[in-house]
Amino acid sequence: MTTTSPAVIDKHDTHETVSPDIPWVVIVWNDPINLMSYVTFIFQKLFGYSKEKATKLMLDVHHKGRAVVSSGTRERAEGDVFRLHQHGLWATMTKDR
Amino acid sequence: MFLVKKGTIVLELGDQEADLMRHTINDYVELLDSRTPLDPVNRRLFPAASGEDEDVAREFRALTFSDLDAHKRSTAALAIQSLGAHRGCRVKLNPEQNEAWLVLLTDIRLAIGTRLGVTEEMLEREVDPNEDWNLALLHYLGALQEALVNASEAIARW
Repeated sequence: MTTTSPAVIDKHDTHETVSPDIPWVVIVWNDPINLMSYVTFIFQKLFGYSKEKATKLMLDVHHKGRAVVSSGTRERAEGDVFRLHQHGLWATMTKDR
Repeated sequence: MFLVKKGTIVLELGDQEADLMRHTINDYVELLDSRTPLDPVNRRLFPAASGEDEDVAREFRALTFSDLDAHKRSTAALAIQSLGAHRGCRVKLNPEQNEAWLVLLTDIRLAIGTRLGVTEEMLEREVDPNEDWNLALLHYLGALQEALVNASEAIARW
C-alpha cells in the first residue's frame, strides 16, 4: 500500500463509487474467537438469509478465510459493514472488479 | 446462564457469576475509555472497513466511529442494568437486552481473545483456571454466548 499523492486518487475513487455498474461487495473474514453458531445466527438476523445459506457462508469464512456476504451500492455496503462491526464480525468492503 | 422459559429468554446468574459479569463489563468499559489507536484490541473492536484502500477506511471511520463507540457503551449499560446492582439475578430479557447481551459477550470475548493472541488450536485445549484465568474466562463467556445464541434462535421468528 502506498501513501504518496493520495489527493488525486481520492477524487477519482469517489467518482467511481457512484457509478451504478461497479457494485461493492462486503467481505467477512475469519477470526479464531467468534463462535460458529453466533456467526451463522448473525447472518440470518442481519441479512434474512435461510439457516442453510447462513451456515454455508459461515463455513466459507471458517474454511476459506473469507466470504462475500452481500453486495450493492457503496451506501448499502457501508451500512452492512457497520451492522457487522456492531455485531463484532470482522468485515470489509471493496469494489467488485 | 441463558434459558428459554415460556417463549422468553431468562438470564439466571448466581451471586459469584453476577459479580464476575459486573466486574468483566466494567473492565470492558474501562477499555473503551482508555483505548489507543494502534492497540490490536482497539483495531479488532473498531475494524478498518478496508485493508487495501486507505480512503475507504478513513471515510468509513469518519462516518461510523462515534456511532459504533456509542453502541458499545449502550450495550454495556443495558447489560449492567439487566443484571441489577447486587448479588445474583433471575431476569426476563426484553429484545433490546437480548441483543445487548449477544453483542456485549461477543465484544468482551474479542477483547480478551485478541489480548491473549488466541488461535483456534489454543481454544481446543483444556484450560486450568488456576494457571490461565483469562483463557478460562474466555471459555466461560463462550459457554454463556453459546447458550444465548441457542436461546435466541429458539425464540426467533423467521
